[in-house]
Amino acid sequence: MSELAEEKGLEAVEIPQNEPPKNSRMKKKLQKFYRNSSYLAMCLPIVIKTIIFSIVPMLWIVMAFQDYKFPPLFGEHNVWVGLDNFKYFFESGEILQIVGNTVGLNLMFIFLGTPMTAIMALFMNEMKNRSATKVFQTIWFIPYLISWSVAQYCSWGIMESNGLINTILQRFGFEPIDFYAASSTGMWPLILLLWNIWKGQGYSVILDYAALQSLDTGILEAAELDGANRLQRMWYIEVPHLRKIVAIQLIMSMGGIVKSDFGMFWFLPKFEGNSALELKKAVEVLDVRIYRLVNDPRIKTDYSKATAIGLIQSFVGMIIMLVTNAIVKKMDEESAFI
Amino acid sequence: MKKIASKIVSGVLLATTAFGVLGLSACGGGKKVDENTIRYVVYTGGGSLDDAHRIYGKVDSIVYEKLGFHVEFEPYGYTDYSNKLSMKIATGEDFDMCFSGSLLSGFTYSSSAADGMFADITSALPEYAPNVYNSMDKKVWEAAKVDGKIYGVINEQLFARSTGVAIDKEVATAMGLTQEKINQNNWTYIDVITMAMEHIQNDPTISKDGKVPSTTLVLGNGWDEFIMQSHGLDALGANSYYPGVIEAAEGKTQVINQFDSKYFREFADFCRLAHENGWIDDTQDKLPVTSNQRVRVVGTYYPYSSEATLYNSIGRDFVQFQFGTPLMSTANVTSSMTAINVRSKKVDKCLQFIDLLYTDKDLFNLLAIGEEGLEYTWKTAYDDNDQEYQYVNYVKSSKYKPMADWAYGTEFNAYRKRGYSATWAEEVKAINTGATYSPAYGFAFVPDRSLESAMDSAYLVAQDYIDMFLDGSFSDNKTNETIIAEMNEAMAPYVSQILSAKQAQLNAFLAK
Amino acid sequence: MENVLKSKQVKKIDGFNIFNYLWMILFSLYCLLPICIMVSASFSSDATLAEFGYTLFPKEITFEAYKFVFESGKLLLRSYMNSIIVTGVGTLLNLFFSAMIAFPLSKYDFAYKHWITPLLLVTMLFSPGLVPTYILITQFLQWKDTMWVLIIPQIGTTFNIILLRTFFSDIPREIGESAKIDGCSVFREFLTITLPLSMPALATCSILMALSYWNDWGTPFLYIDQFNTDLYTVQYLMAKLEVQAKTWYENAGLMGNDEKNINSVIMATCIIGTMPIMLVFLYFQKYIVKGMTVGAVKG
Repeated sequence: MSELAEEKGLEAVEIPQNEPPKNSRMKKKLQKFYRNSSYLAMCLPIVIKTIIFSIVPMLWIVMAFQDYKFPPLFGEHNVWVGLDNFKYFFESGEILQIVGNTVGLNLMFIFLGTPMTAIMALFMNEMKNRSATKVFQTIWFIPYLISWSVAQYCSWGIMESNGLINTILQRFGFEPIDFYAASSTGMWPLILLLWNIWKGQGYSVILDYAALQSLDTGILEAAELDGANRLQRMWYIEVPHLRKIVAIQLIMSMGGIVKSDFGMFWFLPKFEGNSALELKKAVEVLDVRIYRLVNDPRIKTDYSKATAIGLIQSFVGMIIMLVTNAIVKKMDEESAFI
Repeated sequence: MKKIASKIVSGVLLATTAFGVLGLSACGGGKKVDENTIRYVVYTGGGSLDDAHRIYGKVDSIVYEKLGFHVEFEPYGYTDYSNKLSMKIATGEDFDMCFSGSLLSGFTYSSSAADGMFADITSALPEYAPNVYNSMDKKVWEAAKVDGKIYGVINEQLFARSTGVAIDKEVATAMGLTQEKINQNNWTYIDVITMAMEHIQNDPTISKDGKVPSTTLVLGNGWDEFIMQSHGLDALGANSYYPGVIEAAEGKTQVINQFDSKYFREFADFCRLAHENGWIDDTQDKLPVTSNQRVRVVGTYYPYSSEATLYNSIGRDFVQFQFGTPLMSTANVTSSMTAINVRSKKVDKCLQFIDLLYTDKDLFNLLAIGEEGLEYTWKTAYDDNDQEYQYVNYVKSSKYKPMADWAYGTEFNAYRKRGYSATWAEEVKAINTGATYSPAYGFAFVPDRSLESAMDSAYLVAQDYIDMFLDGSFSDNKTNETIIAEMNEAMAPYVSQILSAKQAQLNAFLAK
Repeated sequence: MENVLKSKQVKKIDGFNIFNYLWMILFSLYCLLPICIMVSASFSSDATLAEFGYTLFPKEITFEAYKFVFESGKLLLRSYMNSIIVTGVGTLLNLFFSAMIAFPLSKYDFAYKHWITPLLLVTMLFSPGLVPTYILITQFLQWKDTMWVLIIPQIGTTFNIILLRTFFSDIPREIGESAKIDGCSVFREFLTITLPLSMPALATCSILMALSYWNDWGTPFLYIDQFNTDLYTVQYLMAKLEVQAKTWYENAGLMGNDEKNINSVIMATCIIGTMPIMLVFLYFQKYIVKGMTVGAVKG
């Protein structure tokens, strides 16, 4: 107590006086700097790399407010246009449909995927044969390792006119289905969901399962002794334990709700070569539209607009993430992310 | 305590940031290119260019010998070119000259020039590249002018475009089809294709049970070429996927929406006809250079050229027929150009190099074809009048395949190819000079910034529907009328403003 | 007591466990199905593919496609080497530097971590975009057409740093302190104590890093010239595969009428291209679940 008072007293006197105390403060700070110097040295490589590659170039975000043509960034030829580039985004055709697709499909992935993942992880946790679980884990992880540029060829093997499904259908005398034609538009949300599950579900399940592994087995055994059945155990002990990781997953994926896995939406419906219009309309998401606007050789490439759309995506994502975080926090203080 | 530490850290961060920002935004850096070297971003037809550097090295040494400076090449294939060039310009990467032109649509010459990306060469051109400048009519150069200034060198080729349809020689002979007959009967390309396909359907040596093999009919590179060109429409220097054209062949200056016109309906009906009769395979790839081809809409009628290309890829002889009147329009003339970077300090050297490529036939062919013995050999053949002539025979195993004579200078410099007449260049030039000039010749529509979202949206709608018709993926329950109505409804919010903007700019141009 | 427990467990094995096995096997089949088709197609000849379509098991096994790829696609071997170098060097560097910054951040007595963590988090949410990055890499660093561009920009991903930091902060404080008393420097503590204790987290991170290096096709697309085949990576090749396979066929004089001929070659190349990352994964697998627990629970 007295020490604290002394310090306070000292400080109070210090301010009018000049030289000596400042020196000692400076000294302390230098001491602190010195004490932390080896830590700082260890941080340095990544900090420098981050500043060079991510922070400094951030200045170029201002080109979202310019009609950017070529460097230098603040040259006269790059006219300031205010919010024109953002207006472009809201004015361009079918924007409602595209945003709707993006959000709708993402919500479907999140709200069907997350509970399913948790259930699968809970069931997997019931598996007492550890070596068997390991084999399953290995198999489920494999699709996660395959990039969409390779996975698209797998999808051909299944959905092409001579793919597996159509081969089987024809063998049993059914009409083959052209998955890439406009007539199968209605199927595509389901197809995308199935491929999304194929690619990422295994990984998420292992994540949840890993979280369950950290649960104290003593509690489970005690519950069993108390006569809790399997469902009760899952519901009252394991589900609450999973709550935190599920909340984090939810918050993270809500943050990405206006973004999407470009590869999946570009390669699977064969966006480039496919001319089935209704189908393309039904699966076109924001990232695909941005790609088309920047990369279509017939449209003048405009980096200002691409930056503007990216900025909108980042901000909307951040806001939704914070809102979700706040809601989660209200429901359950501990599970919140930030 | 915490404050000073933070000040130190943030001070360091700020210093680094400020330093980086200064450097980055000023962007004076960049590769130090030798003062005596020009950097040429060049278009190439693709394939693997393993031997490209051998050719580029040879070209460089010849240029050094004749002009005293070096040329460094930077080749990009057709899928990459316009993206890479946009990126290069946007990031201020060093280069001196590049291939440009309305051929690489999105990166049109006119709008890029208007944006200030290319150097003004109005006065330098006659001085440093007199041969190129004088080889073309003054009226041709009018097309390259943006606000009265020239920003690029036109690569002379066939400017006046009409539609061409190539038909297998045997089929055409059996049908007794000649250009005179077509002109006499006023047949359109649709009439002729229909006749040819019906003939093939009934020809048991080609078709089985009245069903033609897949990819017997191939629809060239896109809709615009054969609809726009066969009817003499002019898209006003912009891409024809954007609404707004004038009926140039008839001398009209009223801007109309081509997607809501008889021309587009004709196109749609033709696509449906072709797909319903099974002439076009619904699942055909986009690169169908297959040996089944008997009828091909080649896009532009280009004497001898299509026949030679088809013979090269398929190994059969074709005859080409012309439809519509050849039209001189801004887009047609500026379709292949070489422009100079506005940041380049070597305008004179670039122009000298372009001039050398024009005057030195061997240099041009070295760049456009390759070396004798490795990329090509000379072969002997007889023309229609039994005259012996030598032609260039491409070596198939060669890895240098730019296949883009038109991108390096004037095609008229190229060595004689199989089937070409000795007077080919003169014939093509005659088509150019005898062609109808579009009333909007010399005018290129440069959209206002506020119009861009409407333009791009309309473009994507057009592209989607045109692809649908070309690929035959329209639903059979809907008539073409309904589909076109749908399309126009989707485009409706943008069309009127684009049309009026085009009309206003055109009127201002015509008033001058 | 024990008997009661056991008998209870034995009872439960019946219905529920069968169900449990069943759906797990079904899901595993679902995961494997597309890969199975790819493998089967790569072992089929083009003619069989055209006639019978894709099947789960090849009608007759041929190694034609593989032979073709290895014989005419020297490019494949080249890009393979490049990918392995990039992935190997990149993962090692990335892992080392990420761990090196995660270590101080995990220390309670590191005074400046409140300044560094936000810096890292900002980069997770906002990216500066293509143009400045391109200018930086091509003009200031002059890394165009070099391996550096494939390796360096990916180093120090925030997610991995946070994962490592969480794991490090779980290591009992006393271990570090006792080391300090013994006169051990901070860096030495990091090398000799922290790293060996964190194998699972390092394994998880390394597979995630290796994966992102191996599957990166965007970077070479931008910075590696399409004619600079010496620097092709497997993914870049894969992205250009359809075109490339056609070139191989053309050069070998095999181009037929039917464009679909190249499918078995594409499939074979895909298998060859995906295999190494699978092997790496299998090798590290036992650590990965353990490492993921930490990353998952604490974010």
